[in-house]
Formats: sequence, C-alpha cells, structure tokens
Amino acid sequence: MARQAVREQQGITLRGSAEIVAEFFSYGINSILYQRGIYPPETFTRVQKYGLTLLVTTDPELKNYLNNVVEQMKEWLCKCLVQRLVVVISSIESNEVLERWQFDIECDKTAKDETVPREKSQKAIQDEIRSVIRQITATVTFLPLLETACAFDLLIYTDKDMAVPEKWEESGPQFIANSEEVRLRSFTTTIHKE
Amino acid sequence: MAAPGGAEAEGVGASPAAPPLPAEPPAAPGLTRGPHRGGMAAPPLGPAVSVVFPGAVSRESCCRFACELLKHVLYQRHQLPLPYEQLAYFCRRPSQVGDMIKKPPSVDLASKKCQQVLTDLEGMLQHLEVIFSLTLVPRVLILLGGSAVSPKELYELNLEGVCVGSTEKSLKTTSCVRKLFHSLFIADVFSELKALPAMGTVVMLQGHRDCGVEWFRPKLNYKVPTRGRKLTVNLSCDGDISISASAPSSTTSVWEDYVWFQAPVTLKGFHE
Repeated sequence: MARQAVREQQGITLRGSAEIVAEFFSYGINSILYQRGIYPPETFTRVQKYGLTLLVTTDPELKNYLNNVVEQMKEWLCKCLVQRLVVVISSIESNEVLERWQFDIECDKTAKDETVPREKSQKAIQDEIRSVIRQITATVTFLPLLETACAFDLLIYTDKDMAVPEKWEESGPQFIANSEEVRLRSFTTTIHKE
Repeated sequence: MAAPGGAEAEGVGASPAAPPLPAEPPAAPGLTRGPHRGGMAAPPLGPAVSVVFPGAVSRESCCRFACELLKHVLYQRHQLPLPYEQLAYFCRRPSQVGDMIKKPPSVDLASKKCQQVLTDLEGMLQHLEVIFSLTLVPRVLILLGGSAVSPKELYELNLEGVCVGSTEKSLKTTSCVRKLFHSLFIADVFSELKALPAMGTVVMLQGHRDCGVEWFRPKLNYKVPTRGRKLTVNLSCDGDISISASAPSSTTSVWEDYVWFQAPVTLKGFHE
C-alpha cells in the first residue's frame, strides 16, 4: 500500500495532468492581469504556489469567472479537446487589441487508454511551471506600459466538432497586425505539453 | 504573446563636459576586459549577453541599468519573493480589513526581513545614483552568496563600451532599459538555474579613485573572482555618435585611475 501511494504521488494520470494544467492557467492568468495592470494592485493578494509568491485576485466577480473557466478547462483537458488558451488584452475605449498571450496545449491522447500513471515527479513539473511564471513576471521589464484602461477576454481553441457550452460564444482569433512576439518557456506533464 | 514594441531612438551626441572613456580596442564577441589593464583579457567564464544601443546613453541611464539589473537579479535568483516595486507595495500598504492582527512568528519574521531588505535596497539605489553622478562606472558586480572574493554567483554589468552623452542628446532611458531586459529575456539566462536559498548579495563597482564618494568603500586590492557561476552583460553603443565628445581617448592609462568600491551593506535575501 505504501509503495502504491508513493507511486501515485510520483505518477501523472490524465486527470491529474488536467488539474495541474488548469491550475497553472488560473495562476498564470491572475499573474498576467496583475503584471499588466488590468486590475488595480489593491485587488490582489499574495499566495504561495510553485515555491513562489504569486498574486491572485480578491475581486469576487473575477474570481468566480476564472473559477468557472478553469473548471471548464479541466473537463476539456481531461478529454484532450483543448488546443490553445489565449488571453486577449484590449483597450476599453477603442477596442483595439493591444496584447495577446497565447498558450498552446498538446495533449497525448494515448493517455486516455492508460491505466498506469506516467512517471514524472510533481517537483519537476512544478520547477518548469515556476520558470514560466517567472518569465511572465519578467516581461514587465520590457513590455510597454498599457497606458489606457484595458479589459481582457479568454479565447479557448477546441476541437472543431465540440458543442459550444452555454454562456460561451464563438469568436475570431483577435490577432494583432504587425505585432512583435516573444516566446515563453513551456512545461510538460508528459500528458499535456504547454 | 504579441505586443507592439520597438525602441525609440532620439538624436545622438555627447556633452563636451563628460570625460571621455578610456581608450579600448574594439571588442571581439565574448571578450571582457579586466580593470586597470590594457590589452585583451581572458574570455568570460560563463554566458554573456551583449546589448548594443543605437546611440549615446546618459549617466542617468547607466545608473538605471545598474539599479534595474540589481533588482532583477535579486528577484530572479530568489532573494526577493516579488520584484522590488511590487514587494514594496505589498509590504508597506496598511493592513487590510480581515488581516490577522496577530501574525504567527514565522510571518512576522519574514515581514521584518522584508522591511530590512527594502530599506537596505532603497539606500543602495540612492547611493548608486550618487556615485554614478560623481564618476564614470565602467563595471558593476552583483555577487550572490559566499563572499565578495568567492561568491556563488556573479553578475557583471560591463559599461566600458558605452558612449556617455548629455541627457538631451542621448537615447531615452526607458527605451534603453527595455532593450536591455528584452535581450536578457530572449537569452533566458535564469530559467535553467536551480532555486537559491536566501543569501547575502554584495555590490561592487569601479569608479575613479578621486571621485570623492563617501558611502562606497575603496577596495584597492580587489580582483574579480574567477570561480562561481558568472553572467556578463556587455553594453555598448553604436550609430552616429559625435566623435569629439564621447569616443574613447587614445590613452589606456586612464583605466589605472579606476579602482573597485564595495557597498558597505550586504543585502540579505529572504523567502516568504
């Protein structure tokens, strides 16, 4: 029993991987919203996660919205239906898209049929996620200040045939013309690669 | 992630009043120069990031480069739990409704350590402004852990290649800082490194021996450590720069007048 418990702690299942990735998106989106000043700093509080001090919103409406999105993401990740999540930041006044944070997801669908967890330690995954979060924070050192009040949208790219859930709607990609791009690091649970 | 960007380059030139940098032969990629020595130095011991500005930079910009790099290293190497400005905001804001009135000892200790490092760092940044106004600073060292002669990690900011001009005729500081950190981001120099425990950080820099600085202490026999992990950030200037004002002079003996100074305060990192 003890050996099995240790193995489960070290192993990654599809459900476990979906939870890890969905949780990352929750913290990652909060970090983007804080670092880019989309919401006032006084509406954030500090929490410890991935061995880091992270900032998460205390705004009840925003919390509720993000929780709903994350729960939906978890379900889709479990079924390997989601390919990309994009945080789109736009000017409230002009609706111009100013920034686009794109997270591509690769899901190994063979994991659906597996009964044995894959071996990758939580620590290794956490270390990789930590690097990504630190990079998000580091981007503020060179990204231009967003000097206009901004809002954000979340776009989730799914398989073509998937039904659109209630309260969601189809959207275009909201690309930016003549944009400058920087690439963040990625992490992998061995089932989902982000 | 996509964002509009691009550095803003304004006119270039240099103030005739700024002392010329010591003459240096053109740098080949990857070569660094030791203090007080002419000729070519040994190649760097670790990775190097080179940034070339398309014009002259001001002394204020040089100071900003040093200050921002120090803050950045402290956060990226886990000596501060948040970037400096964010940490200062959260550690110094009045208690929010719902905050615990009596904190557990561990939280209170972290809070005290936070206040201490913020105070020390603010002092350091102010004194960096002073020394940069008194003298050209060709090199800055940020030494993590161990001691000043044997650190665990060493971050060197090499400003020997910059052309210093007046504020009016130099590139905008914010554009240059963004270019510097964009280059650091692309080089991704921190992600592969292991997390560090809380440790002390020492700052050393070169300045003219007669600059009159009081807070930093001269270390005449100091030699740049050769052990420990090292990252060198080389800054230089290119483009149409007025030769009469900012080009290096032809005498290498000017370097001999530059000595190492050490900050009298060690910045104590902490974890929450």
